[in-house]
Amino acid sequence: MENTYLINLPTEILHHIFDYCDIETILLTLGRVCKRLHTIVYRYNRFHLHFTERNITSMGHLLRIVPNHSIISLHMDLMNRWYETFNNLVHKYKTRFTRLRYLGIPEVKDEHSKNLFTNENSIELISLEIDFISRPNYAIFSKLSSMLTRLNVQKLYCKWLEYKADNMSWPIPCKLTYLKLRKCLYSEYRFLLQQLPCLKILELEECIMNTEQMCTPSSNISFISPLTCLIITECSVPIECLRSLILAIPKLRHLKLRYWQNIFNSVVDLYNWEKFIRTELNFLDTCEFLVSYKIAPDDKIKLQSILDPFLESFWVNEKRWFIGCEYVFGRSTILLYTIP
Amino acid sequence: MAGNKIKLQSNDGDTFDVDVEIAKQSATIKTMLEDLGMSEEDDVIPLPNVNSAILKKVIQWATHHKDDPPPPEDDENREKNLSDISSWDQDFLKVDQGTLFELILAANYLDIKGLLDVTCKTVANMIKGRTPEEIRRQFNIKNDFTPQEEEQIKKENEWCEEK
Repeated sequence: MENTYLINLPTEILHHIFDYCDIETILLTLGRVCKRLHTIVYRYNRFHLHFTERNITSMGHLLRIVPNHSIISLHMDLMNRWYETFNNLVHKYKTRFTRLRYLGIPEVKDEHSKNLFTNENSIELISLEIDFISRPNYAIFSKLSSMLTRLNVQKLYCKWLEYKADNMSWPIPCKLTYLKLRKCLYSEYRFLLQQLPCLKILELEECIMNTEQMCTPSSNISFISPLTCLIITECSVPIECLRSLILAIPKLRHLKLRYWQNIFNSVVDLYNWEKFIRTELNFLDTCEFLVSYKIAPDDKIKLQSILDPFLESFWVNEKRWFIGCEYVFGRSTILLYTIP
Repeated sequence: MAGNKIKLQSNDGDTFDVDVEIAKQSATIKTMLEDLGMSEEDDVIPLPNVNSAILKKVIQWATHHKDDPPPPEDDENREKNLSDISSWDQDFLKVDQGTLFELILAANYLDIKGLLDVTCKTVANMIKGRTPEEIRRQFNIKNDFTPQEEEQIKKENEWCEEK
């Protein structure tokens, strides 16, 4: 007997395979292979739609053969036309995305906010990604904030947003558990956490030291955030202040920091992390970092001697964090980083 | 706590000694162990749905991936991990179709998310960019549509294919 493995797989596994195919492949190719696949394709209910300038017409047609409740993600990769297209779908074709969980849009403008997400669409987004073309201002943020309230969004990716506590207030209560932002000032970071009491993951492109007054942990020390993951791609907060950055987040399990600027004076700062992690961050599982610091050009330093403290049991056995070290020629710079 | 081992038995009777931590990547085995209490050294866990050759492959995969972080639960960020199969996994999955599909069934039965994901991705990659006829040939599937049905489907989809 010939082996026809693929079509004999249980439906749930075939659907798992479909999860890795685009909508055209599923509907226009797999649906035409044989009767069994045709049936299984039409029972699939986890379609991801990705509109682009090139496929806008064909996507519109595909939407007519897919039941709306089978669409769980919609990415409007369309620059200026996205709102018009989305509006057409919702109002002209009365598409009701009842199971939509992810929406990616290029930007929110004033004129969008009125009609964009009205209750009758019964959209309950979990995840919203906005790829602002120009940096969003306060007015746009207030639109965004009211959208978050209406949609019950838990994850927000906003890679161009620069947080300013004075002018940007999050909805109350705010249910965000994931937030990705461009920039946040050190002095406002705690305030941000306080405003987002459910936040578990915070990703910042930059965290910037802005005040002269060093490192007095700002008000309300008793406040504890449930944050478990903190990622700062470019951190320019001095080492002494890192402590207060982390004091409010004792549940942290994953920490990723990069220090491109010369904030570190010497590797001794980093050796202190051991004590600090032991006392403050009991739950920390993974720690990834990259730090750099300058040494005097005539300094004859042995890389091995820098690494020695990191070969102790705490780093190697207990935590299994392995540290690498490089000397950048011509720049008199030492790089220290975790090895994945 | 290295060294704790359990015995897994395939449906054709072979037994394999496996580190508990490696075996626990299978949610099915993990549940069994927790329900039984920690198993004695002589205890054998029978796996009636997996044969010896496939079980060996599964153990090889789980051993290689024993230190992987747990896979993320959300699937919204799916785009990122669509085609990223590590080169070790790619080599591991250079097998005949029979083995590949048995691995999928075993991963599903043993509930090993990472292995199920990577095997399903591999099949998805075999499907992408092909015509229905090429897929039939590749997976040995018979076209059982009547000409009328085929015509009908073609009509339904006609709109979508104008580009």
